Amino acid sequence: MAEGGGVPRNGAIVSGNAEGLGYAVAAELCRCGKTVVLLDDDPEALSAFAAGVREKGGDILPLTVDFASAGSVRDAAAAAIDHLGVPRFVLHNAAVLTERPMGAWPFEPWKREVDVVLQAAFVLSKAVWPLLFDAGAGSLLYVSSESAMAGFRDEAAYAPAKHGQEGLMKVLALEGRERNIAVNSITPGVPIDGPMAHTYSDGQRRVMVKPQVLAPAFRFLGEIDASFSTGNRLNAYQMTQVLSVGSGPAVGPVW
Amino acid sequence: MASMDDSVVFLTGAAEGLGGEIARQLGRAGKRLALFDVQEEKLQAVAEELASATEVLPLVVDLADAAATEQAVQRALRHYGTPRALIHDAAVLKEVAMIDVSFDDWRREVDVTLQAAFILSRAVWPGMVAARKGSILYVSSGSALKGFVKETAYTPAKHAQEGLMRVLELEGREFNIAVNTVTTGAPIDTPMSASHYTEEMKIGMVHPSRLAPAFVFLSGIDASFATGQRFNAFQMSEAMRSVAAGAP
Repeated sequence: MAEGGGVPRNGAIVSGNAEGLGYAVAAELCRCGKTVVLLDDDPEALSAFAAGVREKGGDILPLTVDFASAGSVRDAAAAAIDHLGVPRFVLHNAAVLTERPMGAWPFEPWKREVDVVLQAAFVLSKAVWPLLFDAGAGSLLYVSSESAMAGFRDEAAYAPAKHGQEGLMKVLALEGRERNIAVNSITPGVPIDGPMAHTYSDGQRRVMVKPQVLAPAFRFLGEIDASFSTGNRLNAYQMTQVLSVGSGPAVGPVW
Repeated sequence: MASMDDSVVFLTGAAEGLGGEIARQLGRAGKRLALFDVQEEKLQAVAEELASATEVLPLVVDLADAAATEQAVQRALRHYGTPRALIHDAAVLKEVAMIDVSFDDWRREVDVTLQAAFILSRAVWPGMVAARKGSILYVSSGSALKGFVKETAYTPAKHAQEGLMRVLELEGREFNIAVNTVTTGAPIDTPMSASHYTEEMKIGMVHPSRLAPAFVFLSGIDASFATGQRFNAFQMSEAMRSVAAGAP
């Protein structure tokens, strides 16, 4: 449990669909000695990943979650809080992107895709909010996208969901300010070589990076509170580049 | 597929406030209406008021209920065929902080704005695609671009609805379907504003009837006129009024 009467310490909750950015961030946090609860919808990938992290000495609790189910996300958040006490960092990264024209969307898949992003962001945030509020510190971070600011064809579910999540971030940033809770969103800033790479153009594929490259930005943002940044849309790639100042470039050719 | 009748408009939130005024002015302009609202008595009153002017199909429906919304819009489609315009005005705004908001209340607010926008647009889409015209309008808000305290549901829902507009305007372009949002542009005297406007916001407040002409106009456009825009209902309505005043 958390030390110091509920002051957030070392724990992080990370949501992600199998592989991709969520796993990279979870691995980075574990490597740096954090206790991580990783929520994922793919039990096999999750347990294999958790076993690998534990072999290297990482402290990780894997929990299988259906992100489209409010009850499932709520139960997982409760289990995570049981395990961690007051989390220091909560990252909502889970998302599904299906491309279909408007005339080809059945209702249920549309709802599922919206719920994985927006409803899950709300339920997860709501579960930890009273704890962060009492503690007077904490960092909530939502993975955003260009689809939070602009529309794209065949994204009748994904773009509204990401827009909605951005709106939630703005409201919670305002409400969390007096309790020093940081609420931000973060875009990768570069195309990621992960599960959504199939949607990329050839140009995007040429510049895409492994999600591990971006993980230091998330580690950093897991330590902040509202006095550093809240209500902002951050860029993971640029932040990673900035973090490498003093130690040479984090990526790219070695001189 | 039933063909499109250019005089038909589907309108949600029609029982009172801005929606009620839009219904009145559409009706007086000779539009044939399907009016959706959860408030049965008030909706019937609007329908009866307009009965001598035009055809009205009142549909009492909880727009937070996906199945009921689908059923209602299918009934309207069977009755009229594809409408020339869909105007989604219904919304719920309860000001509650994150610490106090219940999941069910949160979900309801998001569903009335976002989910209903999707279900209704999805239902009229194939007919508008086939007709190569149509106008979809969502009533937007400052909360579609900015966050406000105690709007844990309303702000995300209005943001998301704006996102849906931005996707559909792209997809609708090749079929000449206009998809736009409309902000009030002025503080208006409605049941929603009575519940959440500060005294300061009530300064300069206008009757919602002054915003309705813009909706009548925009219900007749297609993508060749404008799509993917955020219109200001007050300014557009005032401009229409001054043109009408100068007309011979």
